[in-house]
Amino acid sequence: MKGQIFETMSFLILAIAIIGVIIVMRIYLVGGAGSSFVNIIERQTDEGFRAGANSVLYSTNERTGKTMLELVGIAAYIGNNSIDLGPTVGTVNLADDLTWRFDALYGKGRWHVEVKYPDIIPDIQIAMVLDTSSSMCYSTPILAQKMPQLIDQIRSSGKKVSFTIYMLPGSVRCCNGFSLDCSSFSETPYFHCRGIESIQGECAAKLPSGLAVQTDEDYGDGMACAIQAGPLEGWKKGSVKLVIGSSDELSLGSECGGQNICCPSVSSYPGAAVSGQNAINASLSKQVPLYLIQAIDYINQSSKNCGSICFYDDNGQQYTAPLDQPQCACTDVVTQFQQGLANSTGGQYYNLNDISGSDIIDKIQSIINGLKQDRVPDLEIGSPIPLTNTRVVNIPVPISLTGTYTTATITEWS
Amino acid sequence: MKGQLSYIIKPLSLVMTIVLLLLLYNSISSFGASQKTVQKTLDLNSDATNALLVLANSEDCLAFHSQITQGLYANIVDIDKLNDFSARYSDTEPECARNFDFGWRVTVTEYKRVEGALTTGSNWTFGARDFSHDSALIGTADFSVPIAIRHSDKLTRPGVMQIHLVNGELERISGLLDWACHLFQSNSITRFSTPISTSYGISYNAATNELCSMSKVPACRTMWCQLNFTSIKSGGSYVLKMTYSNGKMVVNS
Repeated sequence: MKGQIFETMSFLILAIAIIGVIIVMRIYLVGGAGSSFVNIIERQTDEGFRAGANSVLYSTNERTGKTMLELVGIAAYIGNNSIDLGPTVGTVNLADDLTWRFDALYGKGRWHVEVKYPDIIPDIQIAMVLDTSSSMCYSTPILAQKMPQLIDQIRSSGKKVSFTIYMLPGSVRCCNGFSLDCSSFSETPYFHCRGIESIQGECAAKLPSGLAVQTDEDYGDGMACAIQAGPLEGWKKGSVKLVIGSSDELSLGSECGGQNICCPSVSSYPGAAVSGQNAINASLSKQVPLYLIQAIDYINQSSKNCGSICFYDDNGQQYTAPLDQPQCACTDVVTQFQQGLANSTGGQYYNLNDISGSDIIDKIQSIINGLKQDRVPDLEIGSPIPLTNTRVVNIPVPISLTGTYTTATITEWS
Repeated sequence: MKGQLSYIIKPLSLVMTIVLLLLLYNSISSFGASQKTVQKTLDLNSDATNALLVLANSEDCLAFHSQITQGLYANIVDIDKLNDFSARYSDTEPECARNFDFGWRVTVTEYKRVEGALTTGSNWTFGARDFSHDSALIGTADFSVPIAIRHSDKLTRPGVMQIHLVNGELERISGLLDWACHLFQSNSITRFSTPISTSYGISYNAATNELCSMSKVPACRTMWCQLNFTSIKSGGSYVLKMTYSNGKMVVNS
């Protein structure tokens, strides 16, 4: 009996051992070899998928000739999926351009692309054109005293702003000791002053033939010139750009028909109209909005007490005259003119004659603070990603303007 | 009684042990067989992917050498090479991506957008013209990859390269002969023999240098070498014996 029990038990042990061996071999040995082989093949298929995804990014946009990879890099820099490449090329809708490609190659509803955009603070580049006629003796000194410090203060708050003032031709020595030229301004790494003649050659080459900045009050042509030449460091790709013009008179002066009186309307000043239109044309072609700051002529806004000018003429003689005509008399006409320039170009108009008491520095600060950067955080296109059976590849995207990278995550499924 | 019971239990135990061992053997061999089947399918897919990757990324094939990508697989193909391949290899595979186990044919389709609508642009095709049929056909695989077709510095259009890969007896036999020819021409061997199995007779057309399968739907493949081939009149297993002389490969079965 005992022997038979032992025999049965030995058989059972043998049976259990054999079944155990079957299970082990199926799961770990033979199955393992098979799954290793599958892994190798899947890696190869993944490599094929990566190459395919790369190929989409190396195809070009037919209008611009730029690869999709370059365009994604530009979009990441400017934080906008609509890339404006100027008046000749136009705007590229990156999302749309990628969508039709992926639809064609992977099929609609079978892919997803996401590119996270870095939080880039763009440069803010400002060029300002200043009227250098004697009526600017009131507002310009404040600019010279406080502007360099304002720029440094704004930069320390994180905004990468640079500022170039272009003084119109001429130089007047005000009775308050201030000279209406660049000698009154202190240079810093991000604040510069130059005479408009320093960029005249470039302007003459780029603006309609025969055009030049004509007088110490020709801020219309001056702004057109500043837009063409850019600030001292030149316009940078992807920066926020604007041009500010400041004057208390119409472009080329408010004298009506050469007489020291104000004409009733802007249309009476054909020279101003042409000069203003030159500024508008340059603004629209380069997509640089115009900001206008109308300088102060009234001593007392509420009582409309008009101020006076005081300067030293070329012979060193002091010259004093009231600003009644044409300056104060033309205030409303100048307002209309300058508002027209700002409104036509997407800019803003500011009036130092207003009752807020703010000075030109405050106005410039509010311009800079009011600049909004509408950045989108990412590019996300395609269909929602299913939970299983997807293939994913991460492709580095260079952002050449910053020398950094972001990542395009491309997911595909069948 | 106890002894008689022992006479029953012992043989039963032996039989059951043998059955268990047979079960073990069967389990391993059947699983091994199923792994082989999976492996064959994956082999085919792997070769299809390989052929496409080589075609799209080897400069000996269609790839455009980009200074930017510098060897990174980006599937950028040169349109001039595409035009050349579709003219030169209209009925055979190019050497740069030749696979001696399978035959294939590739179609390249370009995409573009015209007035906002997606359209197909040009297309190209090259590779083997015919494939094994009927019982000579073992398996096929169809695979595709996106590519970028470079026209110029400023114009690269998206496209897709599709491959139809065939595993068949004609492909294997012609692959064997081409491979042997390659070895003979490089003086690596002086004689070669190999067993083959075919469902149909095999003949050779010296005028067109094509090896043909006598399946119901005839299929022919262009050979690398000129052959002096003894026709195989019907299906079966044979041993091919090859030598090389006077620029021709002599094949006897």
